[in-house]
Amino acid sequence: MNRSEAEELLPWFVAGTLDEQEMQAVKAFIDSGEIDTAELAELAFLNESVAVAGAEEPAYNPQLLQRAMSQLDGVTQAPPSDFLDRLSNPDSSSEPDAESAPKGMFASMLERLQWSLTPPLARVAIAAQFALVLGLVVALTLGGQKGGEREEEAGFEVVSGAVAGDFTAAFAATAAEPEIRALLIENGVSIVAGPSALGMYTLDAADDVDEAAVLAALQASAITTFVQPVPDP
Amino acid sequence: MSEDDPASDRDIELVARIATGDKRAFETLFTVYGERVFRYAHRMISDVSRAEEVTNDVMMEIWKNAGKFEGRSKVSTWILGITRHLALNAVRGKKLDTMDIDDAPEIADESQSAQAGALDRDRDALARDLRDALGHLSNDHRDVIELTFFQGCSYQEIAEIVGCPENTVKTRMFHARKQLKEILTRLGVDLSALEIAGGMTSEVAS
Repeated sequence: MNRSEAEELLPWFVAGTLDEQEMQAVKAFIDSGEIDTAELAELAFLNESVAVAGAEEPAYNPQLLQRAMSQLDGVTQAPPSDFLDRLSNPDSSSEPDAESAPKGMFASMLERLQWSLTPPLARVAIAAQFALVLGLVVALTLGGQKGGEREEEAGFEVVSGAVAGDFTAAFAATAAEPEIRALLIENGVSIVAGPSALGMYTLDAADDVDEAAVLAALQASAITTFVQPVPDP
Repeated sequence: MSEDDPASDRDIELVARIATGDKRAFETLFTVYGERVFRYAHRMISDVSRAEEVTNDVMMEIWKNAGKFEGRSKVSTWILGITRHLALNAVRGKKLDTMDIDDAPEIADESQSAQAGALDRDRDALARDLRDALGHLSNDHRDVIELTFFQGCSYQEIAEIVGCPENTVKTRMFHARKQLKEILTRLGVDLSALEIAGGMTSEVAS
């Protein structure tokens, strides 16, 4: 703070309304004699004269309170602000209110579509159209995937849909496709499902092979990391 | 807003209770602030009945809108802001006894006879002259003086009440004091006598 700034703050120094830091800074200028004491005296007198209600000022009428009290019932009050609400219910701040709580995906979609503003008849029509489209999608999807139907995929003969197998197996990540194919053909098994998210395949053994021998051969293979018979249903 | 001020905490609690329709809280707040509001209004509009009307209006406004209080300022600052707004409306609605600085020379001419005895005035007379001189300031300038010395507001609070930057408050104070000196000089009051008469310098500095 420089002298000019200290002089600007003198009125509030005299009135005693500066914060502690400003008060000390201004006082330092006064103590050092850099601020004119006549100015300080003038402000002190101004403070003294204005702060006290003079004899010429009218008396305060205490009846004003009764007058106001009698009017309260006829006045509609504004609802408490969030600030005052938090003050009255400090715990409520930790609970998310209905407005600010995260909405579910479906609720958000309805809001985005302004569903609540849509007339009732239009809602029925939209719902019927949606059901029709959904039905067509399901029919087309299931129609192309009949249980047990075989498809060629990435060189393997796989079966989509609900199928039962004889073994569950996993192969080393470093194993090449020809190696796996050779192992499977050699032991009379084929992949009927997979790989799953964990890299597991369901294998089906031909009817004329010894399943115990196949299991032993697969377990013995260096490229097989896991193999287990599928339990009978 | 001072968080450690017990009066502030009490006031906020009162406002919160008023917002829920608590008449006892309103009565307490009125008892605390009623006279302060009346004095401020009266000094702005110089009319007792209008100042009483303003006081009533201010307190009813508080009852009505306590729920809107957001705690961004002290309750006292909020109340004085409402008072100032309603008092200014009263002044604008009906030209009362406020006078512009431009009218001051004429008054000074009428007061030439008082010039000679300026140094002999006692402190009460000086104080009365000074209060009279305040009446010749513009609303903005008088406001800063009143809010500083009568209402005990900091310059930050005045900025909130009046709705202007803090630097503007300081500038207005500077010009208000300058004009006061000019008016008092025209009235024959010698402010240089104050140091001799009062000896307040040492009191303030201490």
